[in-house]
Amino acid sequence: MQRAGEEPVAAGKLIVVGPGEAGKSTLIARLSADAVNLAVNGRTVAMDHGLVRHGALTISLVGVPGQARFAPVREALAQRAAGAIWVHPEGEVPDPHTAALLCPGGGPPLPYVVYVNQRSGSGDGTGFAPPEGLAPPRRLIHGSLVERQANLAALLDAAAELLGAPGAPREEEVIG
Amino acid sequence: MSQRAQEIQGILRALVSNTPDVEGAAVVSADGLVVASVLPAGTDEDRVSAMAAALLSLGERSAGELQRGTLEQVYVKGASGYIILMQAGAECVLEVIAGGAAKLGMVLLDSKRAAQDLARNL
Ligand SMILES: Nc1nc2c(ncn2[C@@H]2O[C@H](COP(=O)(O)OP(=O)(O)O)[C@@H](O)[C@H]2O)c(=O)[nH]1
Ligand SMILES: [Mg+2]
Repeated sequence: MQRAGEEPVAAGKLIVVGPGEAGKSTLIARLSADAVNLAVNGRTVAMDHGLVRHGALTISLVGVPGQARFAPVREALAQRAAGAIWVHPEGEVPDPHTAALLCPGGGPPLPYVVYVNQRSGSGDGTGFAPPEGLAPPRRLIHGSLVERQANLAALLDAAAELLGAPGAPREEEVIG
Repeated sequence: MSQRAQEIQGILRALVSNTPDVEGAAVVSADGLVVASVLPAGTDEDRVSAMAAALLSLGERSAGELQRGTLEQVYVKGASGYIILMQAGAECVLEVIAGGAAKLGMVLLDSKRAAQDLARNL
């Protein structure tokens, strides 16, 4: 419902996926000033949510709980998503639970972009290779959610492209 | 099984066998791990536990957002029955499933008593 005085929400939903502790909740909190995180002892148990403005577009970011047992919650949250941001901890093998989430039973795979989170100490330059059977990401962006946030702007552009907005390539990003 | 675990299991078993139309019960930690359960055969208790934690978390947040005070219960009704969640001690949740013919008042009353007994054992 829309309240008087508020702008209409021309929104698209993107899910933020990746293994536990990848940085999904941190990413949503960095992008959205009034993000909500439903967590117990610092680990997401239900979801994250944040709204982000990007030009004329309002992007609704829905973060999933990454731990394996939350698969049914992830599947519910993924419904009607237009695309995904996959937060990948640098140096790790791409998470199979995340890959499965992007290929919902029978349907076409969700388009996605990857944010390779290079936290300090983990930066060995390893990128991201899509697991077998999954198309490569639309874009691959390297950054760090704590140490080097500059690439969040590039990530937002890439995310907006998933929702149909025209994109502007940036210097810092590596296109996959 | 430790004596404590046996008592918890006993409380759940009593709830399921003494309250008409209660078909299952489980104790789940707030972060979604099963502590004890008496659930119908074929139920995947890991999935159920994770969903219970998610529902409770959403319920708490919604109650706060809409100024309904501290969360007491989450209640789900499907065409074939009910799911009820309530806090059992500071760290755990009691999840009760009941058939569609259940007398809700009685289920809630017995579940509340069980939750209090559980809180003493958890
Ligand atoms: N140093 C560092 N810590 C990070 C970075 N990204 C996330 N973290 C930390 O890693 C932990 C897990 O992050 P979180 O966002 O909760 O991961 P999620 O499970 O994917 O939601 C938190 O303590 C974050 O503060 C990063 O780029 N650098
Ligand atoms: Mg999280």
